[in-house]
Amino acid sequence: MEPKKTYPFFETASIYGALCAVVASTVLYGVLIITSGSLTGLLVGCFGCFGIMLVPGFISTKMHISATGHGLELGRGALIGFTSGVVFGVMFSFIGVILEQFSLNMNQLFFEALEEFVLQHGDPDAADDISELREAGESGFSVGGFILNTLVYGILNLITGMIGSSIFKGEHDE
Amino acid sequence: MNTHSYNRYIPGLLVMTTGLVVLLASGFAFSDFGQLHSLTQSAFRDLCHQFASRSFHIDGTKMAVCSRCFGMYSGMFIMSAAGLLFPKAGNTGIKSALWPAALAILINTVDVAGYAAGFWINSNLSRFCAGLLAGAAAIFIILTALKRKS
Repeated sequence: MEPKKTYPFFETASIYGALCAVVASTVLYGVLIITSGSLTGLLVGCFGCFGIMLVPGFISTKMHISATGHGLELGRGALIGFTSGVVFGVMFSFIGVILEQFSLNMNQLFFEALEEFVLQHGDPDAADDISELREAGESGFSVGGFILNTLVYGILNLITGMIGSSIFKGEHDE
Repeated sequence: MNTHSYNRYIPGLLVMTTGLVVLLASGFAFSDFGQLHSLTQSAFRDLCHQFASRSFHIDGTKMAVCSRCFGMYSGMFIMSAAGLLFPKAGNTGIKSALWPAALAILINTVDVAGYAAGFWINSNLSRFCAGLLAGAAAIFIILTALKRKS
């Protein structure tokens, strides 16, 4: 039996992971700044950003399949997803650190938007939660937190990478 | 070596990775290591709002994620374990496997929207259950693809 040809994936996965990080940062920071404190801004920022955080695995596998014209084994989809997720995590944190130099703190912006939302809708439990989280957020950047954060992005995108290779592989087969 | 033979490792890989995420998401609230609590809190900071009133607590220590997120990760782990324990159970097409995921997303969206609009009040348990469905449905897609190939 002829061995199945494999294609390099690292570059594609890294590029799309980094691209998704730029888009996620732009959506989150952009929406929170432009629509400061509004419910729409908060919802678009949360859903948009959370959605984009899980997308690198999907996009990388989709692009890999499109580029090679072949379906993808689940294991390889997992590897591509994990790589793009790790690159996403590193890039997203890096952008956060850079923007913090320009006094743009994501946690600060997010808490301001949340407080505005609570003022509008009057949820006393949430007010306590925000002040508690604000205190926790002031602890700043930690290397251990960054490593775990990147690992979590990697694992979640490993799963979306597998889902992507399942779905897009199906398209090719059928 | 046939590349498809790697597929038998997939359920094990899923159990290990989702199990690790559940452990991290728990914030090690069952342990006394304060350093682990703060590390896991900062690891999930971008992924979850982490409101104390919407999170489970163990002995007064808050988990690293809210009850809905913890439900999602737990659902992933439970479905992965089920895939490992019952590899032959169920057999469907990928398109059919997408329906439970779509339904789970719809349930969560309606639950969040209904609460925000003041139609109903949800509890940590109901949020956990809604999240559990979403996590399990996501892994169900992978397990379905795995059965079709093996």
